[in-house]
Amino acid sequence: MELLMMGLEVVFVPSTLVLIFFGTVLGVIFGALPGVSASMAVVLGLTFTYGLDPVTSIAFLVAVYCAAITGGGITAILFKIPGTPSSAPTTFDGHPMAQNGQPMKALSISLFCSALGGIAAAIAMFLISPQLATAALKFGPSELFAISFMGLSVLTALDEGNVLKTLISGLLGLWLATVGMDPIGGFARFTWGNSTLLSGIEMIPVMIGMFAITQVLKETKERSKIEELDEAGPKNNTVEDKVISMKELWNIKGTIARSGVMGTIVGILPGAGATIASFLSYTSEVKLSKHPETFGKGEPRGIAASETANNAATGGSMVPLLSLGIPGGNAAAIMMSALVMKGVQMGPLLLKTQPQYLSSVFVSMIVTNIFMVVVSFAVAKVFGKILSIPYSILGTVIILLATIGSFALQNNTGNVFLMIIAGIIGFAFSKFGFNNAALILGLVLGEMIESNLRRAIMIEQGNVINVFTKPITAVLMVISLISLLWPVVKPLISKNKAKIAG
Amino acid sequence: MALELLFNGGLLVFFIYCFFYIGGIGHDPATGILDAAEWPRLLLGLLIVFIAINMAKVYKNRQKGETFKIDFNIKKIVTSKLFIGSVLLLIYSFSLDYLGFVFSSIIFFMVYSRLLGEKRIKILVLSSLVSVAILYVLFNSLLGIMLPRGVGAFRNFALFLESLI
Repeated sequence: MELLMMGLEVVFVPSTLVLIFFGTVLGVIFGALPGVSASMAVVLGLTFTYGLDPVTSIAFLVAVYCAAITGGGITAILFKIPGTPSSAPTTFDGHPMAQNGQPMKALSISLFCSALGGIAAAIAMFLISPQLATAALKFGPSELFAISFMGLSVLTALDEGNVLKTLISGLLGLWLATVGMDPIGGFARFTWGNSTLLSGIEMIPVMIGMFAITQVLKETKERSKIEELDEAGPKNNTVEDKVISMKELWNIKGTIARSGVMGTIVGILPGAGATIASFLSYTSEVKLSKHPETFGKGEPRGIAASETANNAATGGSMVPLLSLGIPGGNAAAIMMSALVMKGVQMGPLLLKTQPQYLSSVFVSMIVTNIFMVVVSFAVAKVFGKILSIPYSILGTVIILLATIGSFALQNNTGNVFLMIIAGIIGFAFSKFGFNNAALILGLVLGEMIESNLRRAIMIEQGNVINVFTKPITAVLMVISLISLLWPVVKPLISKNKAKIAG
Repeated sequence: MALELLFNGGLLVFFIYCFFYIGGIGHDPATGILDAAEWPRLLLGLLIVFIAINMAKVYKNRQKGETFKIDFNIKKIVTSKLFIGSVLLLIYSFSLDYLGFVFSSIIFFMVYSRLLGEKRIKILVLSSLVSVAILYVLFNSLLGIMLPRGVGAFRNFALFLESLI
């Protein structure tokens, strides 16, 4: 209680509240712009903290970070361009829902769930921060491998009617993640002597290419067939588009609760972060659903799972930062460097000697998540207006935004080329029934899976059995294998049952 | 069917090549049983098997009377919107280094919007100028994200623009 009062005293000062509001506006806009990741938003926000004291600085940066993750969902829903990598799963159901004439409903689900995920994670962070951080420290490479493999185990659920092609896509993503220097020994793999490939295949241009460029190419091809129908107006314009009602929100409470818990836990694990949290949560919901076939076609639970989890992960990632001085991800590392620059000694003693950091982060996260709903709606309305622009103009604007997003990553046109190649390949992939989302999932998890598996085997001196028989690893692996094989086994069982019955 | 088999066949050949290529690395004895080459080989091995199964499946599920024949009409391919769009995108990505963001984007915008069906010249010119100007000011000037400047006169123009805004 004392800690909470301390946080309220720090944050509920007019100047700090104004700063948090400003940080929220800044974060939502940055997050909504493709190519400006949450980490980049925090970097851009750093400039404003030079004149602030350390506690206010972290409150402001936390506001930018949380709001940027939420902002990423806006373009994911409206244009199928994930503003931040963690919003990629939001495109799966958010964009189809917007295309079905319900962009406002999709955006409202995304914003409310983001806020709920953020608030839940902030409370979890405040209550169990030190304890959870200690538990996470016990996670070695084998447990981290099992966690990331669990993320991969959802592959077969992405498209249950096409398991083989989805597996091929996922494996291709995992293989693409091996291009460049290997994470343990630094050996060059599949570089063909090209020094650019040494740093590996950049995830963001591939992601933008496979989602945004592939979509524009599809529209380019389709337009030649439907040009005559173009003047008829948007598709399904008879569908009522309203903000999600409390009743509808209540109906997806289970998804929000599960994703909130999962996002917080994944966020706490160093290196995992919001992207893995949103993918893991989305696919878990697909698995748990009685109607998995509705996912990918505008299912509200899909949007809720992804957006709740990625925002919950922001709270989770603050746990190791504040309790142990270990940044959970890029954005946390930037915040840490801002505090170190101001002379703050990060580490386990921080919470004991200066508890106001934990309390101010907690209160500012709560305030940010409340501000965020209002601010995001205003920003989304502006972005939503863009949807009324004819596709002949909008499609090209999307390409320019995607180009800037890929270029800005390293100020390198090579990434723009990579994005376009990924877009063309993505088009061919979807034409032949392969799964772009599975490929991205493999690419996202590839490095983490390989490095942790190889490290775990090294620690056990080559004894693979020892790696997989550790209690946490074994439990996680069994769950993963069941969930990986279930979509393959399920049709066989039903076929058998039908045979017996027949 | 034929096109899908061809696509899968291309992938299969590429993955078999990669399985043996890996890169200029030797065996890394320090990393135990799973070294830098074995992990990608494991993935490629699975990919080769799965793609072979997929090809067999595609062949098995072919429609009655369907033959392995590809209608290779060069004129039809080259004039398709998809092909033109892909080529335009590739040209645009290469032109960024030489013409810079502003010029290459204005030209690309007009051409691609035309491809997407916008026929009114006034709208094409206006929308390309306004969109590129908004994006340039937003990213380059307000967010400080450097955009490609191009070379020679285009670079000088980009520097002039940067000094203006």
